[in-house]
Amino acid sequence: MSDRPETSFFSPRRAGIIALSTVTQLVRMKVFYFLAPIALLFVGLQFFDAFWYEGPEASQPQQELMMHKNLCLGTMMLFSSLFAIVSTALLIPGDIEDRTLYTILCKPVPRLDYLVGKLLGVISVIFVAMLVMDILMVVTLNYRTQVVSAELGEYLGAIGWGEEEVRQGQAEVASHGPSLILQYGVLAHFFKASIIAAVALLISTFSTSTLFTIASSVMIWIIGAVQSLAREGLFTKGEYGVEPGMVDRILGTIISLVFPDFQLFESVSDGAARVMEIGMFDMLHLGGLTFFYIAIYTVLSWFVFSDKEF
Amino acid sequence: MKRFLKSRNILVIAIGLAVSGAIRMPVEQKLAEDYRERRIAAPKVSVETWNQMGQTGLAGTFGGLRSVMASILSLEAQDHFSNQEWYELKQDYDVITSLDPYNSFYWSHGGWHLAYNAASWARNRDDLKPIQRDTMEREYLEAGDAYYREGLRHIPDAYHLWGELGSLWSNRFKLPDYERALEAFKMAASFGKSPIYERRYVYLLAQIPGREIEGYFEARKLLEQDPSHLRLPSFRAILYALWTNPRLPLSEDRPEILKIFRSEEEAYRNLYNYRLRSEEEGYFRGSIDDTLRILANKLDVPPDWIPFLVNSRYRIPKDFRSKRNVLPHSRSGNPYFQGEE
Repeated sequence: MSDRPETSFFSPRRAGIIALSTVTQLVRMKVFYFLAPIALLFVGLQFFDAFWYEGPEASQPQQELMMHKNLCLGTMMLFSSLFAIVSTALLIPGDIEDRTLYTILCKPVPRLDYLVGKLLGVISVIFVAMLVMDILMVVTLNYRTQVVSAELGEYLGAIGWGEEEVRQGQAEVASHGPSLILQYGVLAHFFKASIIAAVALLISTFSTSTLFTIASSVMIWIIGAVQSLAREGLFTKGEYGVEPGMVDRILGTIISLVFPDFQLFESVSDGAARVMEIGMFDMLHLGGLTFFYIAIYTVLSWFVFSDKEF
Repeated sequence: MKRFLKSRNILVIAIGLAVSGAIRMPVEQKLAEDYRERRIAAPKVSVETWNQMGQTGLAGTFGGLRSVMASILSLEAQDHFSNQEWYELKQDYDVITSLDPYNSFYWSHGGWHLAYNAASWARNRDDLKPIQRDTMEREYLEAGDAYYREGLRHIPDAYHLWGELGSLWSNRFKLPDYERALEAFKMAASFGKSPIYERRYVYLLAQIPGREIEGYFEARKLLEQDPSHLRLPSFRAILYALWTNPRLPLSEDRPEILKIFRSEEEAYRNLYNYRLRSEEEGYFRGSIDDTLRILANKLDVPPDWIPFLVNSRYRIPKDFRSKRNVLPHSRSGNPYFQGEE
């Protein structure tokens, strides 16, 4: 009998250590430098009369704020999704290339710990990056809300509106400023980026090239944005009450089963920008769905990775 | 062995994804329907619009960038407007409103382009026979109407779209349909968010022959709800005119000038201007001519500002009793939209 202590199936501590080293690894790759142009974009936009702020579509003060929120959320979504794909795709090949992987796996570290640690590391970096972008968005949005509110008060006062009416108008504008609902929108993008990272992790476990992993993950990201069309074709009747044909049904089923649905996350983010009623329960649903996706992709990644030879 | 492992992995991944997909699919569908019902998610886009979207559609599928894409496309639509390419303009707005369906501005702007710009263009097509012109104009008006209504279907609380529908069908330079306009103003007013539409409903009733008594009761109701309506000259004058209707029930006491107007001078000015408007726009005049005669005598109004002596089309100035304020030039047909009020 061996005297070696038995290695547990999964250790959160071990996964945590690997996650921490992944964060260090990514930080050394200078990924946060990407935040500089985003900061410039968010802040710089306050000093330029971009047409979507000044155009007729922003004639209502709240529209102007909505445009700002949409632009910031859109940028955050693009950055977090791309970052999730590229960083995850680079991690395992990077570890193989600099031989870190052998050093880790020759120790009593189960491969599941390694994968979970890597994924958690990427998700942590995405979280920090989104937090910084979120702070930038809230600060610039707050500034813009105050400017718009002051302009509105001045205008309404000039055309003879009463104090109470002016206050109501300003309250309406303020409701489009920074709020908890807006944070739900950011969280939805974070969930989505986490799923994309898990998808990229799954692909990178069997892919032989980084380029393939990135290209496939981007494709899945794009298909995920329109996956709901295929699924809805299965659940609802066609536009003119026409049932989809057999081929459409088979294709729709395959797409719906295989690809994740990112439209739900987009919808929550869009709704948050419009200050729709999004509550904690909605976020719990989305969070649950995210956990389900990540769990499935991680288990599948582990299955492929468990007997991969290096 | 390696090949076996590869095939086995692919099979396991496929089965894993299929099973998990089968578990999550109904949940996701339910969530999507819930979001759509609560207007968190955008409504379904028709196949036709998807086709029109082209590459924009792909960009449009990414949340957050939709409204920016819509904004960029609205610039393109402006080009079609400048070139009077109405079909292309409508297609642009179909895409724009699909990208940003909860922005009432685009529904309002799309409707305005069709109902006002395209319809006016059709009316001025000298190369067409009158019947063709009329048909084309009506088609554009209806297309604009449909646009406003589609906007309301997406954003039921965009009450100003009802207001715009009311303005469209009460516009005397178009093809007025007072019943539609009344319905629209009533809907806009029912939100209780803008007193403008409550007043426009009353104003329109005062324009429709036979609906004056109804207009009077609506005006009184508004006044009881909010006396601040009286700060508006149009409302004061219309209320007074409706109140002087001899066909009102006897139980309705006769109006007292100083209960509606702050002074007799103000009453004269408001009623004088209202008389001009009623000539142009067909407002109910009631017995305001009698009141104007009495006030003209009482206030010693210069002849230039007595409508029964001089048929002026100018609005009356604030200090009309001053000798300096004579008509700019005699009896011209210049518009009366001049001066303050």
